Amino acid sequence: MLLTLYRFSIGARFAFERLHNPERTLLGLSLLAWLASLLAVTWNEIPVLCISSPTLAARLGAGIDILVQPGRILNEIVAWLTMILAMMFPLLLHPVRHVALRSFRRRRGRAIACFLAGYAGVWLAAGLLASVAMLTIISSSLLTVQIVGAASFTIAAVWQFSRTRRLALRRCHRTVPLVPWGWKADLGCLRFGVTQGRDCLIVCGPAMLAILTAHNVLLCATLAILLFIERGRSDASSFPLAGMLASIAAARSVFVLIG
Amino acid sequence: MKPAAGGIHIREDVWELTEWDPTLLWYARAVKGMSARPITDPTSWRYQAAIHDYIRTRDPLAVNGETMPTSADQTKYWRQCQHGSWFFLPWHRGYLAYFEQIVRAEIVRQGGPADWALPYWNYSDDEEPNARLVRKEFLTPTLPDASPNALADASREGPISMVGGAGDFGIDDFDVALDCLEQPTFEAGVGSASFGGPATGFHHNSGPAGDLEAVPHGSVHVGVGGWLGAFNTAGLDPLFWLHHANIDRLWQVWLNRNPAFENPSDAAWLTAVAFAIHDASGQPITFTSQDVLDTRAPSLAYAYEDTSDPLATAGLAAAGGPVTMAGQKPPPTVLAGASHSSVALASDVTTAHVTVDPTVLPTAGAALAGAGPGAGRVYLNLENITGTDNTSSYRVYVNAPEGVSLPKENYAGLLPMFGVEEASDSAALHGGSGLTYVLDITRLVERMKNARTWRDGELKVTFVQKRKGNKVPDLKVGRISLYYS
Repeated sequence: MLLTLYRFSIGARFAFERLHNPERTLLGLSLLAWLASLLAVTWNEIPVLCISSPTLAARLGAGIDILVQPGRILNEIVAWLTMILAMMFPLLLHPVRHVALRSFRRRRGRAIACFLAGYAGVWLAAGLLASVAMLTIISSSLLTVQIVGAASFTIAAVWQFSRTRRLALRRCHRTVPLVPWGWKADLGCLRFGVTQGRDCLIVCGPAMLAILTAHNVLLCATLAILLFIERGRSDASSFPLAGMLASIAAARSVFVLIG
Repeated sequence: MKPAAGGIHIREDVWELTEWDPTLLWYARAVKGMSARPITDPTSWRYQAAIHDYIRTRDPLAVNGETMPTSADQTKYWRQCQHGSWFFLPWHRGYLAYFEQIVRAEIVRQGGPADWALPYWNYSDDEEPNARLVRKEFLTPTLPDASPNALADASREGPISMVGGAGDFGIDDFDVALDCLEQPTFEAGVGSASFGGPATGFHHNSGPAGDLEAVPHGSVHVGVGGWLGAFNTAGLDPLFWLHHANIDRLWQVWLNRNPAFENPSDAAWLTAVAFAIHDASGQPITFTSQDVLDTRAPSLAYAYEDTSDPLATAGLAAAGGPVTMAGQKPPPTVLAGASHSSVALASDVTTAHVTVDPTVLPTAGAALAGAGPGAGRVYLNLENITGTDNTSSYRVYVNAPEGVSLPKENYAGLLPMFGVEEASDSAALHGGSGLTYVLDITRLVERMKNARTWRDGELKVTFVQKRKGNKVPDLKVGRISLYYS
């Protein structure tokens, strides 16, 4: 284990020394996002419904109503963008390097921006849907919330071993040829960002959804580190992340049982 | 067979051996013995081949219902081949060295000599008229005692004809050129060429191949074809090991050419990644790049009978241009031009155009705007080549005139499609990015400038197919780009 950690540290230091400016910027933004998260802990700003609705459909409707309140949806967008910057941007070092160094220098920033817009758009859309789901769930009884929490971590743990996830992780390492000029170049980068976002969502989405039920910055940070390590290989082992998620699932299940 | 000297086993040129030299005879017997072992045995022939790559549905020797190694073992020990990576050379060195020890152990078990060493196939030897041919010992169906010959027990694309018992597979000068030995830099940056490949971690994905990996490594794989022509079956062909012994030897030849030609000194290459494998007794071990730098070390214990510089007789000194000192980063490159779209490669000749970005040209520096000593280098990138036709290689020419016979002065390099099918499959371990090759065309640009045939704004790139086999050509170059440093 110590040898593995030592080797990992060598690789990490080497990779950091070889970062180009776009990648350093990406990591810088991620760090700022983490600081903002620690300060604001925006995920705790989930409102409690005044009235607990009896049916799922009613709760879903109430959840949507809350989300579309003025200022509320903006809060959610800011929160999800902060999450994307903090947790997802470090996973994009390789594709951002590809976009940067395979683009003409004069349009490098624009190419990266198009890529990140496509990527973030996918996660933002998924995140807002997740917010509606969360708002629906938390208006239920505490037992329901705990069961959903335990179930989501269990599903996320099992998902680590799915073929769909494994194939998506392989696609995360893929590069594509980039059109060099004009609006097609922007579209190509945007499309690359969207496909990377889609595959990232398949790989990381269930775990992220599970973490959403926990609202714990330390858990988020641990998940982010494990995802970053896993991102290093297209055939990475599923066990470390699955182990973490299964442990939390087990702990939450105990809470459910002891009521 | 040369006796071991001081415990160091001597790998010999296979074309220097007599007919059915003990080296080849015992190799055949060992292959037969290893082939009889179950696939679950790490010292079996099929297990050794699967270390490189393995696809169950494409295993020509698969037996229904056979017991396979556990999923955990397959994940840890199989499908480990490093391509498009600076680990290409050290990983294959370790792979070959432990294979050699396993073969030697089998030979000793059968009562053969403990001096046995893997021979190498020096197909680039201009002084050996048969160098590009496959020796008869790998083609004839029986051994001298009339028993079946395991060395011939492989599926190949040919031979096209026989020359005194040896097989001509159509391997030509382009396939075995040693231009890679003139590449001064081991490690590639994005867009630049290199001898050894780009810096990566443990690597399945097909990033840009180093020059040696491209030619003659990839081109000979394609040239022989059949099992040798695909990642997942290459190790099943007994020729694979002789081919890679030569590739390994050329690494040492490159190091010997020029004191400035050095391996990376980064810990990230030397020690950060450990590869899992089995030793001669079937016990699991690991090795790093650092562990395989000295072939005479006790864990490897071999040397080549000839690592002299084949280019020295041609009067070619080690290449000029910027030389990356060990431990330093490769020089940064700048994208200068590209094709507007992907290029579908036809079955004979394909022409494409690369436009130099007008905003880059005035600031391109010495590489494009000037020429001569001290100028930067110019690289032609063939990015994200995808398709399934792994039986073809393509000769690339720049600014060649129209005509049947393209001038050698315009020749830029060779693109062998070894591994293209696996590299193109996004569901496969190799990621789906396809193959990317980088051709150093600095000298070609200089020649054209001196001949006043270079046009600043645009390049014409011509691809000429050399094809074997019956696969429909379906290859596409994702983008052609021009970089300078």
